[in-house]
Amino acid sequence: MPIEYEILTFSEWLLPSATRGGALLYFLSTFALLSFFGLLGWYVVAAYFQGPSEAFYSVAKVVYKAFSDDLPRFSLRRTLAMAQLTVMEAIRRKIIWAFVVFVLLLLFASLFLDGISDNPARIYLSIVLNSTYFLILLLAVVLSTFSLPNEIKNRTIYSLVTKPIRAGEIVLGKIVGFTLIGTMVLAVMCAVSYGFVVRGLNHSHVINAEDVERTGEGDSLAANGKSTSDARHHHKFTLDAKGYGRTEIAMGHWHEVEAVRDGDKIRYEIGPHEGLLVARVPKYGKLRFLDSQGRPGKGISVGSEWAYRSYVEGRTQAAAIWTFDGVTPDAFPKDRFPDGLPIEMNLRVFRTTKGDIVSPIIGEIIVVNPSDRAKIRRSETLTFPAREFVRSERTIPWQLKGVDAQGQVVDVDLLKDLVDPAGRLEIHIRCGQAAQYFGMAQPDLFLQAGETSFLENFAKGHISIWLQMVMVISLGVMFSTLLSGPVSLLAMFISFSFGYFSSFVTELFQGVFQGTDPVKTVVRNLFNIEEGTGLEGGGPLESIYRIFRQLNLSADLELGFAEKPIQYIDMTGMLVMRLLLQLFPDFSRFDNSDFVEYGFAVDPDLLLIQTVTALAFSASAALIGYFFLKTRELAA
Amino acid sequence: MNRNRSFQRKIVYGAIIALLAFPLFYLGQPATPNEQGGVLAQMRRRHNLAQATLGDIDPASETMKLVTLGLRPVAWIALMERQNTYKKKEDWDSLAVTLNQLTKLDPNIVQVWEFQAHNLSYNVSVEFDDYRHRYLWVTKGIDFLVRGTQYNRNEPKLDRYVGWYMGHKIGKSDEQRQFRRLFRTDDDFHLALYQNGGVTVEQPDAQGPDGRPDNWLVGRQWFVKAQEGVKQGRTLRGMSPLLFYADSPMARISYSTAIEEEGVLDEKARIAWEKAGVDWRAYGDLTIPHSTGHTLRLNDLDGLLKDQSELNAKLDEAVPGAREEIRKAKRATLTEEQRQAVDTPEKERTPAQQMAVFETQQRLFISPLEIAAKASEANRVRARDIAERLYQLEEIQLAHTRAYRQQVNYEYWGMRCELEQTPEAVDARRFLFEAKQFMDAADPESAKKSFEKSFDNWAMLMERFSAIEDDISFTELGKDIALYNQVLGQLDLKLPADFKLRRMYERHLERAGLPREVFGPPSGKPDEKPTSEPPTVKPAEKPVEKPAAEKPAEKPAEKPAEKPAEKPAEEKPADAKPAVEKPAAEKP
Repeated sequence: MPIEYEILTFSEWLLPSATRGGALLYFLSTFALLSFFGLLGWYVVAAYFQGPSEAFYSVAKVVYKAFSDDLPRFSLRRTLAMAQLTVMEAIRRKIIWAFVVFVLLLLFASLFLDGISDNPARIYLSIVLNSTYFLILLLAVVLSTFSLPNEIKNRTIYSLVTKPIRAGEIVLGKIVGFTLIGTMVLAVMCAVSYGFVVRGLNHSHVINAEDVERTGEGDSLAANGKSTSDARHHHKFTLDAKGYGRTEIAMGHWHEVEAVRDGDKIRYEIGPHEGLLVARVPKYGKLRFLDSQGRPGKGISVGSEWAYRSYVEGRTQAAAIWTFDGVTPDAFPKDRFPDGLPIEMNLRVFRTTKGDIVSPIIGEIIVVNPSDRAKIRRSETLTFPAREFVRSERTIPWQLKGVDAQGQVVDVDLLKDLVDPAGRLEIHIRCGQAAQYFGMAQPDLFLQAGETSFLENFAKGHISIWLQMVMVISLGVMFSTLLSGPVSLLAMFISFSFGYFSSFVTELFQGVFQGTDPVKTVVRNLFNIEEGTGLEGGGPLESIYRIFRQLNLSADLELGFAEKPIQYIDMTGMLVMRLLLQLFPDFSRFDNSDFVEYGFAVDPDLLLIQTVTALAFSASAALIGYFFLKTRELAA
Repeated sequence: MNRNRSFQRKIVYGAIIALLAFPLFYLGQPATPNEQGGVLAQMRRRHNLAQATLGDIDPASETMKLVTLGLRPVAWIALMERQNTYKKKEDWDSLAVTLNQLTKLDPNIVQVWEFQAHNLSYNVSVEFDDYRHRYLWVTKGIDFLVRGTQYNRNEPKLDRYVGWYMGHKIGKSDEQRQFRRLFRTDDDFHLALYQNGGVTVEQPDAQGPDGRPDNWLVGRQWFVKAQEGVKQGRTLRGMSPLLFYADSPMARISYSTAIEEEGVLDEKARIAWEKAGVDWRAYGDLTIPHSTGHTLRLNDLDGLLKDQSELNAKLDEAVPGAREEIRKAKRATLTEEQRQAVDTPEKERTPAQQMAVFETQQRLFISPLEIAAKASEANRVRARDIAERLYQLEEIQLAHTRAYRQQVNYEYWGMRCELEQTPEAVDARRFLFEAKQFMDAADPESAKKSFEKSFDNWAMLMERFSAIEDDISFTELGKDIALYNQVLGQLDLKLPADFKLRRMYERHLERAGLPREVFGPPSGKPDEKPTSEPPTVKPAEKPVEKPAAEKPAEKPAEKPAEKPAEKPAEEKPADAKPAVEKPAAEKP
């Protein structure tokens, strides 16, 4: 599974370090800046209507009241009552339609599924998670943006404000209420999806006796055979002398097979599918490369457009080196891992000559002790056939041969001799054939630390959807305290687009500020933009011009004096967008569906980071919403 | 009063709606199997726009069209963009799903099926290192196309593409041996072909020598299906009918070549060639529309030539002596060198003379109209009539037939089929096959004998089919002779000067730009000049070795740098995989 960002632990993420500022610092500084500019902006607007001294008085009064009145007298009971009202209102607005659409989608989903996919589970999961995601978010947007403006428009809000209820309670009550509704809908969708996936993937084969060829003699039940073809695939299998065996993997799964004596005859029984709905717990390491001379390097590009993987050349000193932490007997007890240290690889092979078409390229694994003072430096070289796009699992035996500091071959114990005192261990991967290459990225090799329940992982996948829903609801309620329904809907879409396409906006921003113009250089230095990064083709205005003139991305604009103004407008626009982007979380970072789809347990640290980010964002939105509503009250 | 008014208004609105329903019904009534339907339904049918006349109706596709409202092009762009991203990021499963959605969005755009099937079979498949995965994605592309044919029944071109992919992608890739083997036993795919495309692989005409479906022959079934479609009146768009009809006999030829390469060298191979020959001749009998509008048949050439000579005779009879008179007059305008060049026999001309002849050709050409102009008053009308007919025959029918025959290499393939179906040819190929196996087993003596038996047969065949000897496609045999030469080298021998295929081999060397001095003394006489190669050098092991890439470069030091020097250049083609290589000229 490709992961295009680095997964940090919670503490790495939160606290400042040498290379990064840490999220806590970022939150605090954003909060301070936002408070300052927010109040300033509010004062300027108020000053326009009320004059400078009056404006200062009114702004100060609201802020003062917030701390003296509203905060100490905040009532959870009133908030919950508000939430209850909100739930009732939502039910009145027939949110049931969201289900109807969802069920219809699932009914038709099977028609879009690729019948002979290698990974049917991935496709099923992707369909349910994506449709749930979009429907829930749509529901959250519509519910949250229209509720308050409608109440203000219908004047039902007045029956509320006459009651002893505070603005903060209204905003929070709304958010909690909508979240409750959304949670209920999401829970049902989650259950229905689970049923759909399990049912959709369920299939069974039969083994006919004529498809089995017995290979053993006498009492032996050893045999080769194949199952019937169902769901557009079949499995081949080999049974041992006792009549047990496992089929070959087809479409990402296998079945257990057993030969049963039934009088004179032998019956073959095949179990349910296995390996389709899993949640492996990967232990990722840090990756670095050695170049063909054995010096630290970045790996080679073989010219693919997607520069995700770097390649190492075969039969040279080039290697990809993963360093794993915490490889201890506690993490990998021998009773749970009797055969050795389980690793999983997902390498890419790049051949410069086709060579032998039938045989795979052979790779080499060497386990190295990272400590310079270790007695045993490295293990013997283990070889493996490189397989692409399939789960390639291997076990490095606990007992193996190794080389000590004097270069002598000795017997070594993996955990005792090759792991340094800090629990670290290095795995070196080399390509074993000249003129051929292996491509790798950090998540392409990991230790299999175990497996968790798929259902639990499936639920975790939905938690990330839930977090995004909470953020969207908070944002929606915040906008609706100030704007009318349709306008806040529009504002919602814009902010959501910001969040969803934030990486695109960032790249566009980087692209616009490429060039020799002094302003561009200043901005580049300010935002730490490297030269030559970002998207080509200019900002929005320039792009529109290019589309109409049918100019390609790098062609000269040939506009003469008009070129500069266009670029400056684009630059200003992109700068504003970039600054706004600071305010919205990158929604794509909340997407855990890939983990679930590829059969990996969602990283708990990642989930914690996402939860904290979402709650911080929602709290800020609620706070801003509170002040907005206060100003409206003043106006009313 | 007010309430009454409002009620009246409602009645009026109701009446107007009811009235409007009539024209609406007249225009929009849907067609049923028994009724023609409204004006719109009829127009749709008349202009072939109705979904039902194009192919299967897919409820999912119809739903998608409805759901996207007017935003189909936008959804289209979004999906294409996604498709590109998935391809870039090597997410093949999602790519396949997206392609499915794309075709559901608009199943009647033929180009999408073509383009994306190519994407799957050719571009995605090569991204996989394991040849079995590659095969899987090739079949995915084919399966995709097959589904496309169901939505677009009026497009024989799509049927043809299925045949093309099945034949050429499976049968002519670098992995052809593996692909063909996988195809033979891929029952799931065969079933899908039948279920989605209605073409069964169970018929004997689609099965190879082992009784299992053969990719070339199954592909041929699709070519035949496409041709049947055209015969039933479907339009062939964007493709020359000449090439379109050549596909099915060429598939038989490719099949025969493939099984022989795989070692089926018995009566089955002979029959395969015989059938290919029959198909090829039948192809020549087809009436093919020419791009200028008239029709022609490739087999008509002999008849046309006969007509030409008859008409020429008639013209000469009507205007006696005129041809000779004009010829003399034209010749008189040439310079002395030009005249000399023209008089020199074709094979003995120097390059300068060839140039001179080329330049004078136009000047010396005698048009029948020129001859007719010389006719006497009494014969002028008749002579003119003959000349006109002759002109038509030469300039249009003959010229076009010749050009078309040349385009598909008609003569060569016809003769090749005839040659290959002789028992001698099958034997010759079997001996060659055996010789190569002996080479692999490091048995140069037996290899030499088998090569010689094979070349004896070839020499005999060359005499019988002399026209084919010169054909560039036969350089294949040149490579086999190079192998033979290599075997001789291992036995410290040289190609004998009286080697039966000497002339052919020399021409092969000349074309390949290799030195021609490879022949020793005639057979039976000892080599007077001992070879300069040191006795330690044993190139004998070379052909037994697997291709270079399979071998890790563990022993770079062991390989002395003398390699290029000791190996005569003409051995180079033999060095590569001999059986897999195929000359480009196999294409029509």
